[in-house]
Amino acid sequence: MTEARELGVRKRHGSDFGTGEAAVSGAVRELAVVRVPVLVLALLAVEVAGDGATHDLFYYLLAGGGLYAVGALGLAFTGRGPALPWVLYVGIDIALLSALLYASGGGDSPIQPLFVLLPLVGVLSYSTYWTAVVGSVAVLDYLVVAAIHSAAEGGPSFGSILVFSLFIGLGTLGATLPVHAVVQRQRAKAELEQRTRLLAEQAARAEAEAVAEMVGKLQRITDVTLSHLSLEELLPEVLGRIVEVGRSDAAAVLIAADDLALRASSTAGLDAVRSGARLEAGQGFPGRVAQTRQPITTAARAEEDEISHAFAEQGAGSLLGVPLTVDERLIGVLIVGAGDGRELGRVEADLLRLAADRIALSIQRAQLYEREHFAAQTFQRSLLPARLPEIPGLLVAARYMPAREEARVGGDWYDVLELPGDAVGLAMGDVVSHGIRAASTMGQIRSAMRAYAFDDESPGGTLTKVNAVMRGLDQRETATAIYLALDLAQWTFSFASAGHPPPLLIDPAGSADLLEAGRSVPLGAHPGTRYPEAVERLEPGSTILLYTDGLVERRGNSLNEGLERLVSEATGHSSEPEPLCDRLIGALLGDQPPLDDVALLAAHVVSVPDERLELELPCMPSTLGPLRRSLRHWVYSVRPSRDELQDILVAVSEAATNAIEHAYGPVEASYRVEGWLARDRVSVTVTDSGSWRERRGLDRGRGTAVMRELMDVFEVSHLEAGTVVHLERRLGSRSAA
Amino acid sequence: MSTRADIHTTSDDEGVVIARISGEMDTSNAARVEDRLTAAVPNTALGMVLDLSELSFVDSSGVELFFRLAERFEDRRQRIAVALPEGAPIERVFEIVRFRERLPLVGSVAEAGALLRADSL
Repeated sequence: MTEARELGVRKRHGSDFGTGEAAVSGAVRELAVVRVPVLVLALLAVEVAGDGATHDLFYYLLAGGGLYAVGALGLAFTGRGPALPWVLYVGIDIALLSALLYASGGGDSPIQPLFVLLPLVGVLSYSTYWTAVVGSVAVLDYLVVAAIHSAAEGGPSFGSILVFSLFIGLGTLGATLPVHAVVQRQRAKAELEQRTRLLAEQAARAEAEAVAEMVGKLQRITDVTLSHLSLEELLPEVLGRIVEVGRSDAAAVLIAADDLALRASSTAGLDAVRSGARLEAGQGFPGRVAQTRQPITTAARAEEDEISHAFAEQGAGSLLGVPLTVDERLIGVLIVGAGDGRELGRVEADLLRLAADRIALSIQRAQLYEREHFAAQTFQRSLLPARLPEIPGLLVAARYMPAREEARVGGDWYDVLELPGDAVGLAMGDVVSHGIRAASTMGQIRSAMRAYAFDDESPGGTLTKVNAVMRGLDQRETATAIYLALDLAQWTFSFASAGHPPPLLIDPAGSADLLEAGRSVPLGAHPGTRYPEAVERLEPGSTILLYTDGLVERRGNSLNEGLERLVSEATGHSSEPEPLCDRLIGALLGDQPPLDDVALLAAHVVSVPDERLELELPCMPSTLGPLRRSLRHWVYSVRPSRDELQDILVAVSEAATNAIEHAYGPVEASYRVEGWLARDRVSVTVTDSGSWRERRGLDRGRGTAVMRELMDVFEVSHLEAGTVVHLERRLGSRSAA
Repeated sequence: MSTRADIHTTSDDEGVVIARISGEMDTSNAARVEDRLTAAVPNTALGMVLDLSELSFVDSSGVELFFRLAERFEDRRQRIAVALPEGAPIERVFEIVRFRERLPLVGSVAEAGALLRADSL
């Protein structure tokens, strides 16, 4: 609008200026081509005639005027003189005067009446200015000429000449003004028309540009909705773009719950809204937008709700709320706010409304997707062990890394089975397909494998039966699987693999080997397969690693390269399961989530530990659990029976409980546990810094009774530094009892 | 972090609450277990069956808790029966503290439930 007006103004200036220039250059041309030759000719004529009373005056004027005209023109052309038109008028004037004087020299000259016509030159130029100039020049010239004549020859009196010339001048002006009024009106009308046309053009162009711009903005906002982003990624991206391309400073999306309550889900440019802020159905400005399902604009200050307040705090005074709906169902509400006194209006509402349809669809899609994905993932996770069993003599660690492509909930699983006797089962598998179906297959295979493993089956027998069971399953799925049965008494393990990547065995010296034996086709490939098994030695201090192919498969690399990397990364480092898993994941997968799901299971056979156990623990009940775990691993190397192990754990736990309860004072006290292992004997002392007391209450002496009964030696020494409880248990002595 | 014990409670039609404790019990979690067991039994219930078949470790502070709990229940005219299958890892501790003399100790949840119902007649 403003631009159009400015353009019109500039245009009019331009055209006037152009006309003026043309008039001046025309006058100059005329002067040069017509007036000068005429003057020269007149001069020659006067010379030839050589007569008349006005000759002297005429010559002076002619000479002065000619010089002036030539000088002024020269100056004007070289650009150094005063403004050309003014100089020109004077030059023309003097030249005219000279010509008049000469022409009227002979008394009643026939050209005298022609002076009346002079102002017409101005009238015809359609310019009040020119008319006034030429008219006044003519009147003035005529007056001068008449005055000269009357003085020299006693012609008409000066008074009559004056009246005549005034008559001509005023008459000219009188005739000119109405003409000019008409001309001005016409010109104004033409100008108005031109301006209107320009404005119309301008408006049309602006509208076309605005439409193109809006389409572009819409495109920018919505193209992000086409990508398969999770809700968490989608909303900030969409809001960021809305703020960027729209005339707004802040934006928020509130997602509607089933009861139409709104929950702030994502914001851009708003610090104050805590994510998850909740508005009841119909509450506040967003609630109104949700209820009416119409775009609404409002002033942030006029609203009471938390969201509007947050906009107001950020200086976004003008709010626009648009409902997000899909098929009449309210998905949520989109709010944008603009600051700096800008008002959000129809244009923004139109844009947002268009965008809102697409945003609503993509939010709905993301919600559905997330729900489904969450269900599949929850199901799959529920099939993995919540915590690994604590097995004396074996340290176990496991990792599960979900795939980068979140939609692909994988079918990887692992399992650790505490079997009767000294046997431990390690299982891992990978169902080929993905999604909830894969997770379901995985659950079935896992259950079958557990059942057969507990049924005292060898690894080969277990896989053979699981494979037979799979034939009966409806879904035609295949899976790789591996099952290892560890014998911690004999320090051996047997294993069978159904097309699974080979297990990695790291010996106590740190050298790593892939075990290629015992491998056959995947489960579900051939119904009647009999799975062979292999047996290996399991030396104390060694580690077994099971993994799924996601760990070693990389785009652009062969499987062999991946396996080689695995071996080299596992070689020569600590084979404690937890750090081993971390290191392998870091080295083989990096920081990025893997392309496929990855499962890792590492089991480390505890090497024969030091005969001495020395622990210093703070006097806190929470140390009891870890103390028992340490004891378990420590005692394991002398192979206590389960009963013997349990007795030792209970007795030491009782002594430690006493030590913890005797601790007093604000200073954090600690207690010490020391142990000695002999082939047939376990000794433990628990030392505290307090004085020995029986626990009060109902149990009077119950803890003591337990220790005395369970141990072969139970002694309490009251030393100055504290109390020492000495416990000793002979091994094998009671097994018959 | 205290020792982990999970408690799973169910109740039958006749007002017997069955609480299955799995994991380990020592002085670090005894109070918490006690609170949760107390809260699990409404005043209207007949009594509680403690299913300890999945309890892998208990020491005298755990035993103490059961005795305290039994006393409190007796004040409310409610009874506790304990189910512990033969050969369970905690059996020896129960023997030493003469658990059987304080509380009815039977081999299965069904037996314990039957005991409570029979007593109420």
